[in-house]
Amino acid sequence: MTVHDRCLIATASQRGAKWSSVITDLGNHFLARLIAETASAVRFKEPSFAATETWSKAESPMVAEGTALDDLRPKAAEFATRIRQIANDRNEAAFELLFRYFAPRIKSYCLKLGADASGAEEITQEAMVSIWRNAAQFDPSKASPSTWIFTIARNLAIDRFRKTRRPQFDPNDPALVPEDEPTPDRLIEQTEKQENVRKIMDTLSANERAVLMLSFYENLSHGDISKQLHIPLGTVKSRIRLAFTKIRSTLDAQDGANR
Amino acid sequence: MIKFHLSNDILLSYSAGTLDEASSLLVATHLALCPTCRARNRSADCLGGYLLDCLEEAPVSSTMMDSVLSKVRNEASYSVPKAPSPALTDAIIPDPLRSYLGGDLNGLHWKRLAPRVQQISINTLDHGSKARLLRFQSGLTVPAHGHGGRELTLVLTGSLCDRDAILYRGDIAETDERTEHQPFAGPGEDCVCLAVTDAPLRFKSMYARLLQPLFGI
Repeated sequence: MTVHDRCLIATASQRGAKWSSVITDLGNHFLARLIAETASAVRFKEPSFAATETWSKAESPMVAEGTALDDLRPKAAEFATRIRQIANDRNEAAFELLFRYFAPRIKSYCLKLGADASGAEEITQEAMVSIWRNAAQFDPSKASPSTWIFTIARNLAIDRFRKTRRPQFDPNDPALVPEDEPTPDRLIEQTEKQENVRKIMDTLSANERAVLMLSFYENLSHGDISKQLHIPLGTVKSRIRLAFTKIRSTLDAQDGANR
Repeated sequence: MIKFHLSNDILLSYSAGTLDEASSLLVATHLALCPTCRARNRSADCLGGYLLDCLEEAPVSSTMMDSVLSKVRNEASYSVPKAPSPALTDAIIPDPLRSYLGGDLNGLHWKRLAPRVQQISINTLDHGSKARLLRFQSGLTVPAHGHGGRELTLVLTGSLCDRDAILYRGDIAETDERTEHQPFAGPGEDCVCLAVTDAPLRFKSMYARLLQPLFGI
């Protein structure tokens, strides 16, 4: 638990807030950390903070630019087909296509985690080998290609770079409690829920995204952001809160029993 | 039916890979018992996938693709590993915890911690926080205590009454340094739970405080 987390708790308790709202704040903070550590480089240009600029001008260059997320859905279908071709036919052309898209992103992810250039290359290469070898295990009803590849890269990075373990459950364990009847309805619901995450991320306004990135990637306090962007502190806080409310709704347990 | 699930912050840091090993062990063991949280975990991973798509590309060396292909080209096909032989059809403790303990509930070597309380210390590579398996005899009340940091508890057998809730197999209790509580084991079966703490507990009574260093809680 970081000092920041402790402050959140202390502040909330001073306000007499209930534990559930403390958890909410903490959830926001960790979500931010997830974003900071995995996607700190959503494309935006170097911000310019000349004091003479109005805040809206200062803010606009930070807007995520050309992330081309609109065309990800057809892309995901194409990637899924390529992974199947690798599994079935050991198709090298299909692998090349995946390589060109994913290898530079995996490397970028490793660099964000703090790996040096050669370490990032090694992990990337291992991840690509792993994609080839495990292609038959890819299940498009459970994860999109990007999600599946993210989990491969993440697990390798933890293992090789952070040199620790990340225990995982074993889907074949006899003690595992299985899903209720996997009815077609339920499967569709699951896929929709995952697409929802993407849709919701897409609905973040450029302003919300800009404030989030500054807050967590640059690790600036809310007060510093307020000064840098020349916007009121309340606005910084409300934008961060709004952005996370949108994202968090996709993670809540349906029976809502988080304590 | 599990009522008390993982909080969003824990789930997200597990998905991001930033959670320490002991806490991750508890998360993964809960996931084995909770289909609801497995679905939530997939959503959290999905965020990671989305973010991978958003990342700026970092150029990789021009020879990497060829070296990957030359490495895997002549390998025998990898088949999906088969499910393990069903030797353990009635396991009580799910993996990954069972592997960390080296066996299921019946074969464990407990150490006495206090009257009617036993524990097994679990070794982890990283020492960010500490995992232990605890067994409380039914009806036992844990002395009132606070926490120096976060404590996560996962109930595996029996029941644990904590504040206003009764927790059963699979349920999670999450407390922090502001929580002072006095949980007790419910009637019937002994309560076995996995507890992960990131700082020592602070017992309220002088007696318990004196014993604490001896037991290393």
